[in-house]
Amino acid sequence: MLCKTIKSKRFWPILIVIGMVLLVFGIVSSIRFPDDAHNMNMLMGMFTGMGSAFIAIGIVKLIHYKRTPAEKLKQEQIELNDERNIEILRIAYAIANVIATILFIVMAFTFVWLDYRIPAFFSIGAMCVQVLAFSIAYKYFNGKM
Amino acid sequence: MKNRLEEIRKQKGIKQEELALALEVSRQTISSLENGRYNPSITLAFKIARYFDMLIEEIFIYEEEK
Repeated sequence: MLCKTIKSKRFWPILIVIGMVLLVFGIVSSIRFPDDAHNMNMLMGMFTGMGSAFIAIGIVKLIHYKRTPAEKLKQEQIELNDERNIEILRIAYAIANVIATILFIVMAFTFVWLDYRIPAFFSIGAMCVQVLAFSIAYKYFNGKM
Repeated sequence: MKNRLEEIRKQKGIKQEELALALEVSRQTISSLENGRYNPSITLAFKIARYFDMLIEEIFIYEEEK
């Protein structure tokens, strides 16, 4: 589902708009916060950076669509829709998912050991969200197929 | 699952790139199919069979796993 959205040409202008919103939000908020609010300024810096990255990626992709010959674009489309590539992607995502779960567990134990309570709760929360997302997705696709 | 894809393709004098383009898959997919490293979906198997005007069973040979 997500892959199809990313493949769509309409996705990139939307990404640019999201990037602009994040960029403006980051800059305006950064100006409004006092200089000694370091955490908030850093957070707004992250929003600004993410917005800039979205804009840059969107523009690069749009230029790519404009300048690349139709034949090459078709070949790229074939590569994206290729069933073997999709299967490889699914396997890679599944492995990454298992590693992320292990990482969350390791992080939770490490944070508890270091007495960082809040980050530990975040790690455990993220792990729970991941398991929940898996269960919902499994149930949804089980009903669909 | 074994297949006779490479043999049939060569008999017909078709390049991997041409077959890939006709079936709308990548050349690597054709190569993997021929090497037996990848088993196609039923849709791709039908597309291949229709492309060569053959039956699926004439191209793909199913063997029970021991």
